[in-house]
Amino acid sequence: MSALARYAFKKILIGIPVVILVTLLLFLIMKQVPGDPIRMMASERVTKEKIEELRRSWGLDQPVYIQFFYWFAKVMSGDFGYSYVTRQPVSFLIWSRLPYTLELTLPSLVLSYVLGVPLGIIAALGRGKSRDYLTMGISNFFYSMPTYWLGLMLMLVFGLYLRWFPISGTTAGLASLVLPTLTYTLPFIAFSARIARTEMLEVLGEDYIRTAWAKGLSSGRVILGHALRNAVIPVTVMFFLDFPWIIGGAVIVETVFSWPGMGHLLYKSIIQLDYPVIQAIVLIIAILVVLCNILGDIVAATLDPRIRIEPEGM
Amino acid sequence: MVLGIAVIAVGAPIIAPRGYAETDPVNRLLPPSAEYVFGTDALGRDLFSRIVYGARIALWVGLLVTFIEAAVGVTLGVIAGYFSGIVDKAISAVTDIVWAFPPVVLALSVVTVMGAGLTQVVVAIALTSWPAFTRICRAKVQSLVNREFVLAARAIGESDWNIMARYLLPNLIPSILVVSTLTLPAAILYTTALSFLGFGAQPPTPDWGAILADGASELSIAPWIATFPGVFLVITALGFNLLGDGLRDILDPKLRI
Repeated sequence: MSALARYAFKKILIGIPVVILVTLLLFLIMKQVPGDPIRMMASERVTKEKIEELRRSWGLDQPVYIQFFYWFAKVMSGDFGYSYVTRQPVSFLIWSRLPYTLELTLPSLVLSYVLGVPLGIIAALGRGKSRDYLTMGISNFFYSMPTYWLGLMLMLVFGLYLRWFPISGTTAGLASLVLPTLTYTLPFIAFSARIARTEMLEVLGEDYIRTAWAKGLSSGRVILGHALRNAVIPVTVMFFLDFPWIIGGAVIVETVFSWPGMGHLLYKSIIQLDYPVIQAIVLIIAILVVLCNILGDIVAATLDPRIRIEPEGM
Repeated sequence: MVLGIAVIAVGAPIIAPRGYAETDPVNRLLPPSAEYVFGTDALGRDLFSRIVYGARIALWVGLLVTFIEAAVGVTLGVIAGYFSGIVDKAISAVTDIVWAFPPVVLALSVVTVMGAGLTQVVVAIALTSWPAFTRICRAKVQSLVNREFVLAARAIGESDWNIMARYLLPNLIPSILVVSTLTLPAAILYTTALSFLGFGAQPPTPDWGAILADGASELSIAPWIATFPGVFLVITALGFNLLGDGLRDILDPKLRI
C-alpha cells in the first residue's frame, strides 16, 4: 500500500467508532426531550388503550437500549422511521428536500472558492496598498454581517423595491435562486478571502520564496509556481471542513427565503417537535461532519506529501 | 465602535427615550421621524429604545458566551497540551468533531432538548464554539512545555496542576484575549440568529435577533424595523473583529484564527 492509501485507510478506520458514538449520543439526547410524541400525535379524545397500542406500535414501550439497537439497525439501512407530523417516511421527506439544499449550497461553495481565494491572494500581493485595504474592508464588512439580515436587506432592495427577483419560494425558476445564493455566498467569499490572504502572506514570508526572488525568477513564476501551491492547500482543506457549516447555514437562509430544503425542514420539525425528522437530519449532518473531516485530511495528504507520514505520538 | 456600543449598553436607561416594552397602539408602524428616530413596530413600541436596550443583551450575551467558551476551551487545551499521549488524543478528537459541527445545528439540537430561551441559547452556543480556544492553547502549551522555566518548576517539585495554572496559563493570556475578542462577535451573531428563528429571547425582550424577526414579517410595510437592528449588529461585530485583528497584530502576530 502506498503511504497515501495507508493514511486514508487509517483515517477512515478512526471515523467509524466516532460515527457510532455520535449516533448513540444523539439518540440519548433525543430521548431526553420534553413532550410525549404519542400525546402529540393523538388528539384529546383518544382512549388510554388506543394510546398504549400506539406506543407499542411505535416501539416506545421497549427499554431504551433495545430502542437504540432497533433504531441503529434501521438507520444503517437508510430507514429513519416516520414523521410524527406528516406520517411520511423520514427518508422520503429528506430525499425530497435534499436537491433544494444542494441547489443552493453547491453553487455557493464553488463561487466562494473561485472568487474568494483569488481575492485574498490579490489582497496579499498588494499588502498595505489600497487594493488590500479595499478587499479586506469589504470582506470584513460581509464577514461581520448576520446572514439572515443580509438576506432581508437583499429581499428589500432587489425584491421589494427594484422587483428584479422574487423574495421567496422556488416558483420563479432560476430567478428565485439569485437572492438566496447571494445571501449564502457573500459572507463565504469574505471568509475565504480572509483565509487565503493570511495563508498567502505566511507563504510569501518564507525563506524559499526569498530564494526564488533572489534567483531572479520573474514575479509570475515566483507567485504562480512557488507560493500559490502552498498557500492554496490549507484553503482547499478548509473548504472540505467547512462544508457542514454551509449546510448548517442552510437553516437560516432557507428559513428566511422559505426555501423548501433540509434546513427549512429542520426548522419546521423543531417547531413541531417532530423528533424522528430532527434526529435524522442532525445525524446526517453529524455523519457529514465526520466524513468531511476524513476527506479534508485525505485531500491535505494528497496535496502535501509531508502530511502522509505522521510522526509518532501525534 | 466597540466603545460606542458599550456606552449605549451601559447608558441604555438614559439614552432610550421610552421603555423597550412600552406599547402604544395609536402609533403603530410609524416610519422614522423626529419623534421616533427609528420608527415604531407593530405594537407601537419605539424601535430606537428597543435597539438601545438590545445593545445590553447583545454585549452581555456575547461576554457570557465567550467567558464560558474560554473556561471550557482553555482548560481542555492546557490539559491536552500538557499531557501528551492518550489524554491529548482524546481531547483533540472531540475538539475536531465539535469544531466541524455547524454551531447553529448543534445549538438547535440543544434547544430541542432544553426548550427555547436566551439562557438555553447561551449555553448551546457556548458548548459548540469552544474548540478555537482549545486548539490555540494546546499548541501554545506544547511549545512552552519543554522550556527551562517549566522544567525548573518541575525540578523543584511543583505539581502538574500548579505548573499549568501558575506557570503556563499566564503565558497564554495574550492569545486568550485575542481569541476572545474574535469569538465574541461570532457569539453575538449566533445567539441573535437563534433569536431570529424564534428559539432564543422571548418577547418582549428587545434582542436584536428577535427585533429582526419582527421586522421580517413586516418587511414590505415597515422595512425600517428590519434595517436598524442589523446595522447595529454589523457595527458591533465589525468593531470586535477589527479590535481583535488589531490586538492580534500587537500581542501575538503569529496567531492564526
